[in-house]
Amino acid sequence: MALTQSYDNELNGVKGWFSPYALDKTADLAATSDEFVAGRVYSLNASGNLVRGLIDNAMPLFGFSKIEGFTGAGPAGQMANLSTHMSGRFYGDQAIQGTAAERVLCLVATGGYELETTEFTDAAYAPNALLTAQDENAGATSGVVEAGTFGADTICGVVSDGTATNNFSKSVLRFWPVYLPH
Amino acid sequence: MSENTELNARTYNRLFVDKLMSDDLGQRKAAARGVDDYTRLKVREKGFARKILPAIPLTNDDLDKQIDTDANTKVFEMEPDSPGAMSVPYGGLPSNRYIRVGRYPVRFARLQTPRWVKDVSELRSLDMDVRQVVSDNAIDDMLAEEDGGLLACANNVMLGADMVVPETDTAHWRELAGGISRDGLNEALKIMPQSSRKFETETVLVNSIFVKDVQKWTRDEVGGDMAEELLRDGWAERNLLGRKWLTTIKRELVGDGTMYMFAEPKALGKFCVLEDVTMYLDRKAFMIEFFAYSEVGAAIANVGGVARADFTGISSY
Repeated sequence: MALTQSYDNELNGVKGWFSPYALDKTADLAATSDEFVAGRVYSLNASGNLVRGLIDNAMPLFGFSKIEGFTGAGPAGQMANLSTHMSGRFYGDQAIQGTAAERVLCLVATGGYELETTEFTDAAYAPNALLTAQDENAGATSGVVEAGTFGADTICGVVSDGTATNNFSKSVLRFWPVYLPH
Repeated sequence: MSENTELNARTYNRLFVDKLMSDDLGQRKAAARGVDDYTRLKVREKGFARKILPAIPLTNDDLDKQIDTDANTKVFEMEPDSPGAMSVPYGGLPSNRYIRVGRYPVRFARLQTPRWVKDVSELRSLDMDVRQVVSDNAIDDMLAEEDGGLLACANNVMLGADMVVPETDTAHWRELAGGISRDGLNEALKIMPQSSRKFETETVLVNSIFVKDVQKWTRDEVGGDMAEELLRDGWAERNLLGRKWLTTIKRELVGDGTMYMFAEPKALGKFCVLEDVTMYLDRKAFMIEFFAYSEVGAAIANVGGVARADFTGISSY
């Protein structure tokens, strides 16, 4: 059995993050979304919740981390962690209280960063190549970064250094995030 | 506000500004400490989550390493259930039962307020003690986040209204008809001990609208002295029916006809504080910025220690 590590799926801010004034976005993961994987692309749906995958012409949001918690079958029936039940909704309507939601931190594509992700389709990426990401219907590969075509795809990045192997022997793709709808 | 209080607030603001504007690092630390000391006091007094599950302060040494995440985690143990004793004929020998212990994780998360920014010169003429107002609001927001989270956990483990929890063979969250009467409250208090885990309610949580219906009780329902006291003085946090009653104004979290019930903390779960509320404060030229943050973790790990009654047939607006 392979041990899961915190760096298996990763988004790394090579330049421009961390800064206390950096443009990031925290939102609830939609109940209908595929599970959170760091390094993939997310979009806000019409309800303001995050879905994994790049919705056509939506602002690309790169998943950085989530609040960790455990909610599920425990040693004595269902158990729930507070960490995944606090969602800043106190000032909202009572109808939205009392439900769990996964809080996810994303870096917004229009922020000034250079990023590095483990979540990309294996291919050759030359500097200045345009990038897009698979949409929410792609299933297991939703939100994975891949080559994009100007005018046909929602562009979410421009390749900077291309691919490399990081200090954990993981393949990464280095790029500048951009937002270019089509 | 009295003239004396206004003068005091202005004096405090001026001293605060003087300390913030000072190039002496010790003076700026004093300004931060002033806010910090105050906020810690309020944490103990406000919010209901920590009254239901008392906060346990943890240090770095108390944390348990996890392989798959860097998130701070503390693992707690659960009492093993017993298969029970049995009668046997003479000569009968006991069957074996290997001892295993259940464990559950409490993962931590950071709570933080917005970063408040202000041109420090605009503080000079304020009559109110702006430190108090802003830090009060900040702390209230953080405590509301804890409160909402704890109730969301409780709702989660109870599965839903009128749903039977398989492990305890009873519905811990029930809708009760008939309004908020003495009979109704006692029906609600039956829920928890009716489960196979048999805990009794120690703490009841209702909102301030709920208690207005209790205040309607007449001599027939509460007896002479209390009926008179309720009429004259209204409701105050008190023991009633042998339980500690907490009243909240947070109708966003506790509905008008809703009554949450919690067993003693030992039967419920854990609430841990890794870093209590701390105020970050900085000044760049004439601009100040500050925000509060804390790091807490909690879990409701035993559904047997939670119950909820939603009374129907009450007026709500």
